[in-house]
Amino acid sequence: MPDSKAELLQGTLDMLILKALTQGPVHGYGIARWIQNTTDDQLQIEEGSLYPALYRMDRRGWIESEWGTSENNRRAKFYKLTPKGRAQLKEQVAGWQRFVSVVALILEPQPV
Amino acid sequence: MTSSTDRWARFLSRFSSRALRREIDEELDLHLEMRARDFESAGMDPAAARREAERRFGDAARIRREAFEAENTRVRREERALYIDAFRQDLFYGLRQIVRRPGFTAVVVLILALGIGANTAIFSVFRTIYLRPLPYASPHELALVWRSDARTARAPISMPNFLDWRESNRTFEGLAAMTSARFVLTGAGEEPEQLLTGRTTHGLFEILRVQPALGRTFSPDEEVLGNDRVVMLSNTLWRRRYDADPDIVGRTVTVNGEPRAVVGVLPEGFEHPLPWFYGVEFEMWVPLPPAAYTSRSSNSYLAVGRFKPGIGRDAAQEDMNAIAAWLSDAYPEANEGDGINVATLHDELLGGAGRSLLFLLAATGLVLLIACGNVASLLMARAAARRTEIAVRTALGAGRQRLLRQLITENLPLSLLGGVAGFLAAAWGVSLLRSVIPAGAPRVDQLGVDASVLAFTLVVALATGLIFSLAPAASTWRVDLTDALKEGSRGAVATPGASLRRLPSIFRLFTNRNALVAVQLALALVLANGAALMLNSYARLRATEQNFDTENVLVMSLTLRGPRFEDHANVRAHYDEVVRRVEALPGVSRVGGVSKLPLRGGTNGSVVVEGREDETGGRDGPLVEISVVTSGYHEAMGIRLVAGRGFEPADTNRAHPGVIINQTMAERLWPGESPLGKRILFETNTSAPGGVAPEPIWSTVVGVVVDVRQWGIETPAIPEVYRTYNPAPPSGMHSFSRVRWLVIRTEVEPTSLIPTVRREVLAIAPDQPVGGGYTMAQLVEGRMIGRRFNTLLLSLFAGIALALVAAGVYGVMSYFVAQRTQEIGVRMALGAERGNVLRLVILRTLKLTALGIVLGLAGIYATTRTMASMVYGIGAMDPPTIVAGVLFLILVAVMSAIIPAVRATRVDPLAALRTS
Repeated sequence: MPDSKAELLQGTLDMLILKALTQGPVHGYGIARWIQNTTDDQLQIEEGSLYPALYRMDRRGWIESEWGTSENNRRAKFYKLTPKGRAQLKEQVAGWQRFVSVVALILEPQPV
Repeated sequence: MTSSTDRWARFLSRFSSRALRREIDEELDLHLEMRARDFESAGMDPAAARREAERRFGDAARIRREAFEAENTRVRREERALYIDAFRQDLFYGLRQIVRRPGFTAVVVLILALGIGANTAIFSVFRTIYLRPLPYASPHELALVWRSDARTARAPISMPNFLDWRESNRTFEGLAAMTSARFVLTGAGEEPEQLLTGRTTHGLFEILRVQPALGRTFSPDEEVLGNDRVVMLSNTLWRRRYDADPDIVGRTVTVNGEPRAVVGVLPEGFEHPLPWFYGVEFEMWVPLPPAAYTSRSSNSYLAVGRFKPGIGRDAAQEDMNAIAAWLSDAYPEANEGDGINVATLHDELLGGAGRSLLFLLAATGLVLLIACGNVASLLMARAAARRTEIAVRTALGAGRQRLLRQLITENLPLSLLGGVAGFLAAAWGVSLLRSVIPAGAPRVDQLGVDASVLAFTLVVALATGLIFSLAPAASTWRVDLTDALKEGSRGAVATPGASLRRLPSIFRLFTNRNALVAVQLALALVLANGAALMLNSYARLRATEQNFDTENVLVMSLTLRGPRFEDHANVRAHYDEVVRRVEALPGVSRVGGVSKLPLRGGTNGSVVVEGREDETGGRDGPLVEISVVTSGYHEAMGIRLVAGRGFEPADTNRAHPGVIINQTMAERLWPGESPLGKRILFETNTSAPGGVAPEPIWSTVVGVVVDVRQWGIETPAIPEVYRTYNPAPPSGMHSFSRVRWLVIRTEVEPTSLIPTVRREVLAIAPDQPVGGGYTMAQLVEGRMIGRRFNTLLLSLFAGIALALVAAGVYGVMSYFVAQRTQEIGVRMALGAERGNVLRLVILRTLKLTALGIVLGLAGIYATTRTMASMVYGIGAMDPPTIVAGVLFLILVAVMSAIIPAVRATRVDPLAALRTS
């Protein structure tokens, strides 16, 4: 993939995280695992970059965080969608779909 | 669910960045661990699993950094919002409290106004006189250069030495010599005026970087004798006498009977750098031609210089030391052993005043601390009533600092209000001070409050608020939650053992109102002792025998200038005539003339004692004051003769003049024997121009008078010799040998004769001004103004301190009685008499006072050195004074405790027992 992978992925990453959280509160690793499972490991992301994104979205009020206990009894930080976050997700998904349909128009074989 | 209490607790406990990093690490490490474990359960070996997990993770370091920044910003932003919110809450609480309890507010504001006001007033004076920059460009480069010898580090210099300094120095951009004189300005139908005149070599104004308002300054060739008949006028003189004539430059005026051309006018507000004439303006300036003054031992000039750029005082001092050394070798007779002392202008002009003001500033600082103590005590009482609220806050996670911040913010409106009141009080006080301050102090007319004083007030008010909030805040830290909730707000002091957090013991001490009052008592004792010492000193000073008559003696200044009086015969005739005619006036009993008045500084020189020419004489000979008088002087001034006789006409013989000496000189030079008949030689007799030493003229001692102080009211007298004006003075001495003051002993009120005397003298020589006209009593008073000022202020501060302390003791003892009401009730029910109860309270007061006294004595000991420089005639540690202070303090404390004590005796046992 081209160089713009990082930039493309930044906005997309936010969207993916928000989508992941619609499943309910989960910790950072849980998000990584969900992405892995859902895409059948076809989308490999730099897992660490989840965290700056999570903190950023927390600051913007799209998600909330709270310390809790993980499945193996370890202290972990759990993230949860806020109403603002939900609205943001809807917006980003709409934007993505628009983008995809526009690109599809370009990639369509042109009528002769 | 992120609970808001979670957030609240987190922010309250100050989320430090270290803790933040730790949390981030914890989170990220967990991720890696879980990923690695997943790989392991998929079959990888631990090491490989770990490696793969890290690979998938990405650049860990960068990620940690980004995460930290993102989270940090967020945390900080929320924290800030919370701080501002809390600040606003606390501030409004404080404002509400002010409005809700106006009585309390009024008391606190009054106390603060006293404390802050006193500080601000003194600071205002300090700033005007001491801190304002000198009115010259780059004043730090300016210096006065003195001669230093065995006797003093600040002695005037001679002209030939100055010329050598000017030639050989390498560190001064410019060096000028100057001196003062009184010249007579006449002409154009105006009255003759005797004006203070500055005489300077070329370059003074360039050194000071002063531009003339009109015309120009002196040129280098005007230093040459013959070309020097020019003059510069002060701005004030130009406006006053010449109506600000724009064409004044080039006009001729008559100075001392000779024409001089006006070359320039100085700008408005020009201040001269001479330390001997504070605040007094030089009205004329003339060139000082070095060629006219060839005696290397005649030291009458002061050197002013500006350092070269980049050169500091030390470098200049080193350079001048070298010059001093070779001058000492080259001219041993005049310069042996002399050094040179380079002193920056700043230190010179402002030293003495600064010290005195710092002393007063320290005293006001003490008063302020006492005031803070009172306010703190009042606030602690109020804080006790809020124990429940504070206990709950603490339980919810409010830390010590949070509570402190809260209390400080709440008290902010109060302290600012106190600051405003203090500023207003100070503004009023300063205008009051202006009328009381010693007239000789520089820049008195510039005294006033301005922006910097306001800033100072603000700082002091804020600091005060901080200080008096500390104690009440600290007292809340000891609150135990369960106790507080149980007891409600009855105000009992928290049990020491049940504190939530350990306090440093010094704080514990100050949370105790008793300890606070003890400290206040100590400070008040120090101030009271200081004031008592100052009052004592002042009384002693006033009581000091001056040895001349202060009642019924009038002095007026004479001037004899101009070519007519170059001839000494004319001088003699004039003085004789003046004395004769003034003495003949009704109401006058005796008249004398003298070259200098007592207490106003002296003129000194060396003498040689006959028979001891080797030891005495030379420049190490005894330094004696030399006064030139007419025969009637001692009688007119009321100076008693103790041996020998007064002057007789025979003493004016040229070849065998007679002199009168004072007691100190008799004892110093001829200890154990009578000085009458002994002979001395004046040093200056031997240094006549032309190189031919004339026959030495020995003077015979004919009488001894009592000592009169020459250099000031507190400086002891030094040896003095009085010579008659009749033989022409030797050429080395100039105007110092002129009789300048007419001393008139009157039978009526002295000042009533001023116009008559003036008329009489002017009748003899209408072109010679007669000035002055005040009594010796006024002169002595004038010398005491400085001390009176200091004493007055210190006594005022001590008074304020004692009043504040009295209020403090009253408050504490009231509290004590209120606390013990139940106990007192019990005692009385069990048969205690009213007297016993009274004794209980008074004893408690005495115990507290005793503690204060002990601390206060330590404080007195610590301030001994400071006081030593301010007292006169008494030691800085004077047992009777200290004892008196202690007793007075006890009296004040007991009197303040009387009302609470009486209240205690009125306790109704039944009512007290019922309350619980």
